[in-house]
Amino acid sequence: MRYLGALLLTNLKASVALRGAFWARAVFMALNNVIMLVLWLLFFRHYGDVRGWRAVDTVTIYAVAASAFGIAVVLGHGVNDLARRIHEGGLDAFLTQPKDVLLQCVASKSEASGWGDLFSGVVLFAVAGFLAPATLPICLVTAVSGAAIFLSWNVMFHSLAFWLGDTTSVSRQAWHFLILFSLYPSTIFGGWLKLLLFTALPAGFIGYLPVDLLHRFSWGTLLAVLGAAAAYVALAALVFRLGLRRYQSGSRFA
Amino acid sequence: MKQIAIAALAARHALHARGEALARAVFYLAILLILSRLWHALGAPSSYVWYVALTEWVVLAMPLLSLDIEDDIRRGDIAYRIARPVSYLWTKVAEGFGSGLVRLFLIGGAGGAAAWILTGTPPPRGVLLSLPLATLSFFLLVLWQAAIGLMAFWIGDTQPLFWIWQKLFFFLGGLLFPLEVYPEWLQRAAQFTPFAPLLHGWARLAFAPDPAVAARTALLLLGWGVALVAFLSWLYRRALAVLDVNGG
Repeated sequence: MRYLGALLLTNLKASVALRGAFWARAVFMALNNVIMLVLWLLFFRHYGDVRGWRAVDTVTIYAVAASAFGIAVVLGHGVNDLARRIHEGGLDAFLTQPKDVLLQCVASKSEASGWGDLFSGVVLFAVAGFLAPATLPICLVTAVSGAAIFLSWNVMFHSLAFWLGDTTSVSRQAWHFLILFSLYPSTIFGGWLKLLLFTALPAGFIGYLPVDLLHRFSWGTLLAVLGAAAAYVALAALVFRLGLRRYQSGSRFA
Repeated sequence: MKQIAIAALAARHALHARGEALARAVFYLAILLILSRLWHALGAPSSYVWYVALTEWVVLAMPLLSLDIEDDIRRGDIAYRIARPVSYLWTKVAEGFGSGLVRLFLIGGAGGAAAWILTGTPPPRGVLLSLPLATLSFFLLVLWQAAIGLMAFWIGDTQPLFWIWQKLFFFLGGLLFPLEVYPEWLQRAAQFTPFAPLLHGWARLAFAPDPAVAARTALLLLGWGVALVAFLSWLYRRALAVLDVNGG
């Protein structure tokens, strides 16, 4: 944990070093989220609700998703280079270190715009009325578990590079898919599509279930959210470990 | 004109980049699926799905020209590219337009078929009327992207600027929802921006084919197009002056 903390601090210092770029990315990303949310608020002002899904639910889903996404890219933006590193033999530098390879690679970069996401997420939690002592721990749990699922999902797709070659563009697409499906009212999905969102495409565990948990707390839902995050983290670690056995060095130190 | 040959070459390249077109088409289909579920849940007529099929079509075919130009400026490649006997700026615009046209064609077929399947209705008559305007609008989007890319001469990282431009364009252009969903004052305000004619101006023809609306939108797009070309030319001259002073 101490190693991880030091790594994160170094990344943070690196991204804050370019002060202008850091603030521009963070502030404009927060503004970006605000514009999209205003769009949805106007939609709900016109239509009222979508099968019982109201404006406050969308504010909540944006709060959870923005916080989760912010944490994921601030702490683990290195995951976006994983497929390329695997394909080009770029894991060598990490393999020589006495620490976990996946952890080092994922935490090797930080994205400044994530702070804008994180900030807008916190503000939206407050707007939705959840920054109260009773619900604050749930906000934290949903944001952290969402971040874990975002990262695990990305690790799994990038790890396919061990078998398929450079899967960067497919992984980016999968990442966009997960964000896309996490932000829409859950009430519009039913049948096989809903099943998909709680299995192969875990958007249901990032957006819908956390919203439900914040509005109607139950231990069962909390366990489902935490269990899903733990399962996806374990699955991602397993896929990466299996793939690592096939890894071929880029001979960078030869 | 050299630019036509450059656009044709970029189009040929784009025809071979099937993976990229496929990725964009899959994302397009996912958006159509979600938004068709949304409009279905609200009991809206099928023309709403066709509206979104049109707006998303143009947006998802858009080349990432701003990033491309920013890369050239950051890496310093621009220094030797401007030495060629053809304008760097209009070469980039021609490349963006040529490759984008091919993507419009490729993903348009997929989107049209998906919208038909999802709604169970053939394209409304207004869709045919909107196609030439969509192409004109697409050309303007390429110009916008070039302008954002050139800003890299002054601000280095154009991504934040691109995010805001993109979201204003989505919002005031009516990408996800037609402008009729907004309060009246905002609908009126949006008409004074360059964004409304870029998407809503012609995509609303999906609701009702109206040649007068089509003609008015075409005039607006042409007017904004002339303004954008003038602005881009001015911006490029200023950028070259910066390059002369600071080097590549």
